[in-house]
Amino acid sequence: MSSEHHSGSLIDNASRSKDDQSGDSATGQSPAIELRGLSKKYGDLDAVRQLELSIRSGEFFTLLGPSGCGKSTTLRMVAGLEAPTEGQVYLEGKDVTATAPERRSTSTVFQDYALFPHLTVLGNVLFPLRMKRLPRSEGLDKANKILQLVGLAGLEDRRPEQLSGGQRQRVALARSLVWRPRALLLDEPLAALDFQLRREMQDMLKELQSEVGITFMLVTHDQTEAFSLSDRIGVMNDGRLEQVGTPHELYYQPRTLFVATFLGNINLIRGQVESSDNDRVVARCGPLRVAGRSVSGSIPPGTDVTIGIRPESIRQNAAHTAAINTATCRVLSTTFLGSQEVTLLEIAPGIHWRCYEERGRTTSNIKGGRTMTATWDAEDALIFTDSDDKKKLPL
Amino acid sequence: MKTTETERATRSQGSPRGDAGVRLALNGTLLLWLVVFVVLPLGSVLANAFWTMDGAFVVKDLSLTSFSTILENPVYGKVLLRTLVNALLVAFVAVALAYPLAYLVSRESSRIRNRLVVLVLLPLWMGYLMRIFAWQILLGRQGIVNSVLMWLGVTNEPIGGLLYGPVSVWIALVQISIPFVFVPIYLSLERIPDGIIESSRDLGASPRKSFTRIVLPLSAPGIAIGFVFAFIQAFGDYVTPTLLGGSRGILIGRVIVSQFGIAYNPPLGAALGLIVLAVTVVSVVVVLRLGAREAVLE
Repeated sequence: MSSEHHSGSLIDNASRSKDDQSGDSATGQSPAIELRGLSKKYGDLDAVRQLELSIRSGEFFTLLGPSGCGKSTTLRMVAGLEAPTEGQVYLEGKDVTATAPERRSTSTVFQDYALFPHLTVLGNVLFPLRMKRLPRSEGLDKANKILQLVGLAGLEDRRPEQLSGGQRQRVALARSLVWRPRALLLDEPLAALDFQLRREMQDMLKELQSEVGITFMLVTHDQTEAFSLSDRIGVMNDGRLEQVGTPHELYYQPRTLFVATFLGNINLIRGQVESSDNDRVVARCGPLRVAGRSVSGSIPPGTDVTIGIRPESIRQNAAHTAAINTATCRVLSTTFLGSQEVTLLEIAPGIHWRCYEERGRTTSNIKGGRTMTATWDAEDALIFTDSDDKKKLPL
Repeated sequence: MKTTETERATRSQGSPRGDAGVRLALNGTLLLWLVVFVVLPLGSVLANAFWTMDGAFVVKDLSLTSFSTILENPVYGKVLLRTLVNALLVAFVAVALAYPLAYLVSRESSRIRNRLVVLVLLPLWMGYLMRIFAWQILLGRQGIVNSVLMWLGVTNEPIGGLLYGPVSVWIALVQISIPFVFVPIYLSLERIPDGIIESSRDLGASPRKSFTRIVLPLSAPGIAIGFVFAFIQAFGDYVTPTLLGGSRGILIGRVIVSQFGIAYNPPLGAALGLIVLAVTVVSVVVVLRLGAREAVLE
């Protein structure tokens, strides 16, 4: 049995004893999780296509994407619950593609918690320690510490069915963390909780991560959750990893139209390239001329492109009448949302844009039906060619 | 408890007279049902057991004669013990055969699963007696089993011991109870989400540990109920041993029946029936308790 346990602090024994390899120097440098050419097919369906990803040790990494994009399948392949059709999974530099889940140094928190209904809270938390043959007294010690950490002290003897959703979630977290895995895998762990509780749990996740200092890999479809928790995010679509970056990079420098539209709101318009100087592109969109930034370098004139501008980058009613990056438009409606005001503009027949403005105490002077001028900076107009996206968006 | 109380409270708030009428009708029906199907038959057995015989007539005086007869004559104890062992054996074998079957079926996709369940339950559509006669045809001297064995050259002469002995009774009783054992075990296994098994593996359990620590305890209530079904069936059955058992290894069911027939001693038959009932009730309670505790125990 490779799972013999040496006594020691909570932090150091963990799963390292699981791997027969004891190359600590390699552990320090290799990425915590590395995926190489990882693919999964279900019959004819490509659930995950050729994923290349490297997650640093101690990082909070999130796979973000719509449902059915392959993010959960990817996580399950990391955990060993699903066998890849092609490619490899490396944990701390070691190829674990063929390793059974119980011999991997990862621990999963499932969406429906998957608590053992016949065991108490304590029994659930002790389970992984028993599987690792930890002496009972030592196990109890660790279990009590972790239950304290997630705020479940006093509920040790309850059964899962006697707990609320948030408490079950905490048990699942405690159970996964108690044996000190090298990486915690979270599969939409907060999806089943209501808004308030989700917020609390998000805060707790973040705290826990800094407390235990291990790698977290989260899967979610919730952009706000991804942004508030993650060091880096990988956006997935249709089995592919579209882009990996910090929340800031993804928001302001999306490389594909999918990333731009999936993260936050963006106003779109179709156009044709007039001229291009490296990534500086001027395009004509009907009556408008737009100068913007290409996400993929120089684009030959005449190419069809999509231009995207974030609602907060649009300024209204500016005393500005240049021939470029200026639109005369009709105001359809304005909605007051407290700190923000959303204005719906008709930029051209049938093309509606949103515009966000911070509003102080001044009341809006723009009323529906009025005509106004909208302007934006060339830096904020992102230009995508159709080939940047495998999947075209309806416009 | 609390919820039922509040439920009752809210229910009784509605029109009290109409409610009372409905309740009377419902409770009355239940009461009638209980009297006709439970109280009368059991009362009759109970009364008979404490009566006695005078020649060929039942004397309706309170007496313990039947019980003293049972105690004094070791044959009854022997038959009871044999029946008990027989029933336990049948129940064990039935569970041992039905469990792997139920496990495999429960892990299939839902479409295949439902078809397989129907297949397992198919024998129930055939009459009980039909199946026993089928075993006579299969196991008899000129039966299919013997024919095949001889054709294969395993034996030159038909094996006689197959039919009319304990073996044929065991085979038939096991076969008859398998659907009844399968269903509760299958239901308890099917209810275990895949996620729970995956999660146990993820937390370090080998497939074997995952089975013994998670699947087995979670299906313990199903095992207990299935075991009890097979046990009751085998303990009280009289048709199968009569038709397949021959003259060797008489079981208690046949003894009791004969007390109401050839041997004509209804009080003795009733007393034996009461003992069978008591043994059954005690075994059921014990086994179900065990099953429930196993499911809850960590």
